[in-house]
Amino acid sequence: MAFQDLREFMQACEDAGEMITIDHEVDWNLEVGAISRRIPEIGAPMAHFTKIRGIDNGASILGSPMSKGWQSDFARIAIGLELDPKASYEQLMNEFMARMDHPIRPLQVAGGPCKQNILTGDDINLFKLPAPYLHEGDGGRYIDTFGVTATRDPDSDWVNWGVYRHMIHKKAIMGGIVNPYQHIGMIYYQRYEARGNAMPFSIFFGGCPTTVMMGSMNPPAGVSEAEVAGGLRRAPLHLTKCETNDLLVPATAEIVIEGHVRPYERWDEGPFGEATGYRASPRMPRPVFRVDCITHRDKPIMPISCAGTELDECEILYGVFSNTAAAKKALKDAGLPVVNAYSPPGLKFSLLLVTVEKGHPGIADRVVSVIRGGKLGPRFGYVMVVDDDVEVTNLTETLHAAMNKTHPLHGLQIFGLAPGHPLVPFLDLHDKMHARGAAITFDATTPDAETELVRRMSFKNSYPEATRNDVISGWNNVYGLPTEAGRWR
Amino acid sequence: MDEKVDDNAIATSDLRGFLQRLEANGELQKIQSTVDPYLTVGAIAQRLAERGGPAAHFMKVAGAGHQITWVSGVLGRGRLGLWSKLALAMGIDPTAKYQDILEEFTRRRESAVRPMQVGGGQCKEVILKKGDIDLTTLSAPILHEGDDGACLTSWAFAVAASPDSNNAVWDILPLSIKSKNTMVGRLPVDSSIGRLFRKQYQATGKPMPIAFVFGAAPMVTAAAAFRRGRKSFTAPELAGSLQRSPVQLVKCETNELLVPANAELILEGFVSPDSYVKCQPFGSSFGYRSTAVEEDGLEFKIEAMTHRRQPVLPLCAWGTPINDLHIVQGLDRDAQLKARFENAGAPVCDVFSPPWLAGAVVAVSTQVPYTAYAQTVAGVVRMTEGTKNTPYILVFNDDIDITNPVSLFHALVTKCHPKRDTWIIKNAEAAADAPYLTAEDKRNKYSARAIFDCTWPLDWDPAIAIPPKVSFDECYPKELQEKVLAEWVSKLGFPKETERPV
Repeated sequence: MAFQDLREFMQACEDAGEMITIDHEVDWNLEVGAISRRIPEIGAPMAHFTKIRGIDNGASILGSPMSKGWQSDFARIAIGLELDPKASYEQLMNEFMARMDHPIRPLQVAGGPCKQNILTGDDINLFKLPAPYLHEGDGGRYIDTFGVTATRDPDSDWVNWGVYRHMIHKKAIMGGIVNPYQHIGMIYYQRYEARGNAMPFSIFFGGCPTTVMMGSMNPPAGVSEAEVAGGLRRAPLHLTKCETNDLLVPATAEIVIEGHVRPYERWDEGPFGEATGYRASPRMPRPVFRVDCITHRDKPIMPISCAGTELDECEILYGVFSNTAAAKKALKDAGLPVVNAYSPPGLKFSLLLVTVEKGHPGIADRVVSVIRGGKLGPRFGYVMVVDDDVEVTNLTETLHAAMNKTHPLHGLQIFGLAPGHPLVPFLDLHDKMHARGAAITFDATTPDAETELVRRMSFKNSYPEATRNDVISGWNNVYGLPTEAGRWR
Repeated sequence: MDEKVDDNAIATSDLRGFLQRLEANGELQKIQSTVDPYLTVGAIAQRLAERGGPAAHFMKVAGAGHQITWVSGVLGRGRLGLWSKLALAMGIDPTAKYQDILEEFTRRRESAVRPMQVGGGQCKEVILKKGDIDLTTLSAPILHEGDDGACLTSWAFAVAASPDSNNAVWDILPLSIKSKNTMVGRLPVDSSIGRLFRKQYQATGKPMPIAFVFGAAPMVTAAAAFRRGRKSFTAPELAGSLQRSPVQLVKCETNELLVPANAELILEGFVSPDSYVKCQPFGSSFGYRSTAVEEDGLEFKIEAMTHRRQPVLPLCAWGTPINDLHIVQGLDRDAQLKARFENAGAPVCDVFSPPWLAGAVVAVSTQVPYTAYAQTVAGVVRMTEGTKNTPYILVFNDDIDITNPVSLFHALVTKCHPKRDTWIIKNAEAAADAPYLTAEDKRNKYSARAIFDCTWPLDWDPAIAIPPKVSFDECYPKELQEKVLAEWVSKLGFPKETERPV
């Protein structure tokens, strides 16, 4: 059964040991952030902070709902998709991609729990919501780090959902980052600002977790995330109309912030400790989000994502799942002999690993062309293409292949200038501000027809299947060898 | 620390004592069921190397005579950690951090403990000559599918000396059994024994006496795997220093070479300059093998075999990481580099050759005294014996944990600008069996190397242009960090932490 709202998801997580409730009062000023930052760094359960200093209306914070630990531990995503928390990454990925192919249109309903409280005019006060100051050095209190911003393309039916970020400027005014190559940027700069019009927006928090998963991900322009979210949960979303605009938001959302963005209005926003693991993008004039109405459930729960090193929600949803899925699909659609692709957790969606069938000289360039020729280009500065005799989701194994088989001269393809974006840490200030990026490919595939193929001397590749099966089946009960791998220390 | 070392110095002075030590620490599994030396032993050893686990002592190998047993992975990736078995061999805490192991190793490596010559030893308990020798009864494993024969010396070392001196040279040479009394395999041009053979024996057409040592004390075999500069200590001297006691050497039966007296088994023989034969390639320390190409190997004739009763013969899987070779060679390279940087007064913090990358990468974390300091660092790396063939040199700021694969590669992909921060060097040295070489590289005998500078540029204004790292330990005041850590379990109610897998 699909989750009706965030609270059902939280209950399921608590039952699985993936959530704890903290009733002890915590401070929105750095303390919530510190705890929420530590959670993904060590793989701890998410935290429901029920008492926030200075908040007396029953509002609470849910910290780090979807990021957890290392390589294959995506338990909370699995729960969000109603799968076994122990499902492997491959199982999740396959399920994910299959459901995304079957979108379900949402149903519109009247009212909903998100309308239990409606605030307009002078009653609007963003500071009454639990907005944390997440990291030392941030440019403000980031009220939105895990909400979904809905905006409509005026020329079509398309409604874009995205997870961005917004900080509080004043009690009824926020600021946010709007990159031109993101969908919200395409819509705002080209369809509203260019015409001198204000762009309505609605940011919603909570609702079924598939809504924020989709908001973090990347279906192509023109595809409405609400439908794909329906596909993910295998049931239509129930959406309700906003009070001050025509946008639709989940009826069971915890909090909805409605407003508009004027054309050409810019206030300094940022910096913010970001998902790349650095506070990289500078404080700059950026669009202003003026609030016209806030609606919320009683005792609303504000989910937050404290971006940073190792893992965070953005990295997992956007990088590990969404970008990987998009890369796989693009490569498959291009008809290339690609076996698998992976954007490893912890590498901040800046690295794409691709495994290809052996014996196709020049394959790496064709793979990279597909990546560079698409939306993912600015994201994946580093692409490593290796033969398919490794498991791409095994990071050390794949890196071993990449660093041993890439020829330092012929195998490194360097693009000194490439489409970039302001979050990339290795760009200097000027390049960040003008989105001047750079890229590099590691080609670890067999270089040319003349050079003989090299054989990987691994368990998988150097022993016949019968031998391997015997060894694996006798591992513990015949040979007495331990089932768990050695400690990585 | 001293008492602990003295205690273990006795335990680790021969292989059997070391195996007991491993077992006591959960790092050895005796396998009682009969195993097939054809591929099964190798498959188990390789899987253990990839996953990390105990040394495997195969008590019953099909066809083994002389009551021989084989043991794999005595120094490879362990159960308790990557370097746990090596630490035990050195007499250190098996859960010690890499940096601490490296520091101790580097310290010991800087001095020599001269070997002692003795009149006899355990390796002489049984002596067999010429007609009584049958190498095929040793049940050496055929390690990988496609190998030409059974590899006898995957974790044994060869001893040779120049004709006019007693300065012995040690090397690990994986050779395969060809007949009852011959082995065959490559004698690489860039190995110590290879150089010795070509310069001093081949040039004059004389056969070179050689001995093979099986089952010496763990650090003694490890010392044979090191690459040494021409002016450094001999392998036996280094071995003595590493194991904190002099190596006791005894003369061979049929030649003048000296071998460790407490080794499990010794083969004595010679190799002639006119005995070049074609052989299949075996594999390399990188974990790759060029397929289907015959190489020039040499034939090694065995004239005597001496051994302890019930000899225990070690083997190494010679496949993808992390096996004994990766552990030992990685540590050795880092020690050489560390010593060099320290002698030069360089502000280098950490040096690390990730064993899971099999020597393809050297990572250095450092303070940055001037722009393009990475080139200075890379220059030192390229000059140092153990690392002169490494294709990739990565340089990091000193706040990066370069022993962690995720933080290492995270720093690379987020901080190294593909154009500004990379240098490609053409016409550079490369190992002859490196997996990335093109046919042309092999003809020309050189290849290329690359340097990746993953440090923040010095001309960036630290106040506005250098992005601070966003992590728990860098983005919050110290008092708040301490408060959160102190309250984590008791007040906030989080479960106690567990170690994370990679």
